[in-house]
Amino acid sequence: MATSLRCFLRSGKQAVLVVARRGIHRSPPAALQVTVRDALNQAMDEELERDERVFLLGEEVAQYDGAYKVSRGLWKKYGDKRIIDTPISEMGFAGIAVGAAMAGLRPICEFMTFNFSMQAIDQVINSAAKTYYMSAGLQPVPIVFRGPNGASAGVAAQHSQCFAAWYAHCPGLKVVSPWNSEDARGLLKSAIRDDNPVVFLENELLYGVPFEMSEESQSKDFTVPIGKAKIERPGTHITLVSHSRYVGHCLDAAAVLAKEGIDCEVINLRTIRPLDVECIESSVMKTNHLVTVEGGWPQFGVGAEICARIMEGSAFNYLDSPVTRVTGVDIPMPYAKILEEHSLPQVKDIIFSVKKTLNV
Amino acid sequence: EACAAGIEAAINPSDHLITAYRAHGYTYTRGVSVKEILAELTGRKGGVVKGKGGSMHMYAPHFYGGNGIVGAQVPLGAGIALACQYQANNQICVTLYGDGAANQGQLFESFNMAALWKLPCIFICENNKYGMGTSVERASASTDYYRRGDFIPGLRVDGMDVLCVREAAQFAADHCRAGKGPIIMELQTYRYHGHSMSDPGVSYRTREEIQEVRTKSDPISMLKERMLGNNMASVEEFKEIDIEIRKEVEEAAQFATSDPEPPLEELCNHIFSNNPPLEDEKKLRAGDRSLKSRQRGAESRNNPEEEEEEREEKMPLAQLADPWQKMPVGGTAGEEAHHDPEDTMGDDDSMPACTVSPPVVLVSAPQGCRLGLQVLVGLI
Repeated sequence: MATSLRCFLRSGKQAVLVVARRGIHRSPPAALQVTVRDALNQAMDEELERDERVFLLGEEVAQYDGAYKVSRGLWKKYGDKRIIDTPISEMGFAGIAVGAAMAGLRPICEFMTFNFSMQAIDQVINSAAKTYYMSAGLQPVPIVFRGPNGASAGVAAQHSQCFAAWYAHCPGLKVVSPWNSEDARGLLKSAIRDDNPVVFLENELLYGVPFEMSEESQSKDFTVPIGKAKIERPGTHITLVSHSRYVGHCLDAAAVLAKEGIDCEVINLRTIRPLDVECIESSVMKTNHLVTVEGGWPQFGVGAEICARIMEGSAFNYLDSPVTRVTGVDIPMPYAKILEEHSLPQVKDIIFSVKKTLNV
Repeated sequence: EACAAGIEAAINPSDHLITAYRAHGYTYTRGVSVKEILAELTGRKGGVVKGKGGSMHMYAPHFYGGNGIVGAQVPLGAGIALACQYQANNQICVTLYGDGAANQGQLFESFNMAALWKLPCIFICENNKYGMGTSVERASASTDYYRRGDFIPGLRVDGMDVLCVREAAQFAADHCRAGKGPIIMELQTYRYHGHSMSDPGVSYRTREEIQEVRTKSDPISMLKERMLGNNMASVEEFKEIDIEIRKEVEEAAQFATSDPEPPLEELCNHIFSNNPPLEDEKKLRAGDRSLKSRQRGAESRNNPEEEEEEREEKMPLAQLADPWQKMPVGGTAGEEAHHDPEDTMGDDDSMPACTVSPPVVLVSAPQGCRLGLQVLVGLI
């Protein structure tokens, strides 16, 4: 697929960062700034070291150091056997990865973006997700499918789709969508250690963003449980639920709204499937208002599912107004910058939705 | 029948096999009882996968189904071969597909990667001349399926002659085990019945054609005549075998119609493979078969406390998780070839003189690929 154009467009989006690489002789780490890219890299490095059955395959993961440099340095360290460059054959190599998982290995199958996973989606759903059920528990498939998901910048319609709703629809899969470095590191470790197929949705625009990582989160066995959301910012007036990049947007919106006296509770889903409905419900029972924020299209999406689940549960009686969904515009992603910006949720859209929901 | 029986005779139980949906014979040759197969077809709890897979999704140790999406099993098979190579256990993977699926794009993706990485995979095309109702001439621009691997050497084999299949599969297995990379076999065979229960099988071919194959090329008849003609068995012995088999199948059919259906509690089981991931890894290594999920409900729960126990432990390759707990991982190369239970003669190393016309084996070898054609000449 067209990597060269994307690499060209990708440049210069993020500021130069202070990145601490983990060396052997470090004294006990204090909190430090780590980019999402480095968090993912370290997580894979540690899991490769920990378990010989783990290996990585995908396009450009080895000698190119990863199309987005997420697997930088791994091929040098682990060699051809554990870090495998594949030809452009998504259906083929995804199937190969699933077969290897069935036969006892623990592959990490990288899609250069999840748009290309559509080529291989039969292997993800029919060969990976359903097999444990069809075999009545005889054949587990411990595999991780990872790669960037959703909108990037200036890559147009075929390279910008969000697949969270597509994969989260299917039983037998776990679908996770980290936001910050701690999420990325902990969830990737959990995903690799999980004996089930996990779809790991990263975000290209977050790769270069540094986040503070606590001392605890730098431990080699730090994992974030799959299926548990996190309350990033407690609040009392309204609940904002989001995943991936838009958690950041929600926090920005919350900061602006706080100045106007509106106290937002921001929930970072972390996992799309299984959805942590309890967390959302208890939050709604406290705040009585709910806004969901996602980058994907509105119809049959993550926000739609949250609305349905809230409506079906006890939290419905606590709602003082209908839930509002903030989503990507229901169109293929346009190319021109101004159009692209307006086809995705912006902070002002979230602020507008909060005020509309609160009727202020 | 010659295909499944011949292939299994040439490989070890520790080798791997995967095929598409026409899998009942392979399920049997890979070790599942007739009883469990029939009960799975009738959707009973005594079926090999408790009635949850059905006709197309039966599994056994080192047998990966039973796959409904034709063609998808080919990359899976290449991946299993990759695992064999990765673990350096001298095992190979036999990956079967039909003449219909031979036109799937993912096959060619698999051929490319298998050849690139020299995966120990035997790709076998069971050419029964029809993909559902479409004859090979109407489906494929080239019906030389043994040549479709291009840069991968291919053998064309008489798939109705069990000994021919066995010898060719043996050759192919040796080729893979020697590290020479993948190889293709085309087994020329036939399908008497229609594609499925709802296909009478005569709208796209003539009854005469079916009859002709039945009378002239039936694998079981051919083997029987050959054995009788060479005094390897008597008519009475065959009668006894027939009676024994009939009895076994009758009992299995009884079971399959009388065993209860799976309980409704099973509906939501087996979605996910574990509770705390690491806890179950420990169990797998300790050989705990009760690891088969006792999961109730669709969600799995993670238990961070247990994970801490595994803090510094590496997972050595030698203790690979074997969910079946039956097969030793890393079977030795010197394992006895699995003998077809119908073979009452014991050792039959020497190829008996044929009274039927000799099997034809055509070879397609890309330039520069030395296959040891002398071996092939010896077969003919």
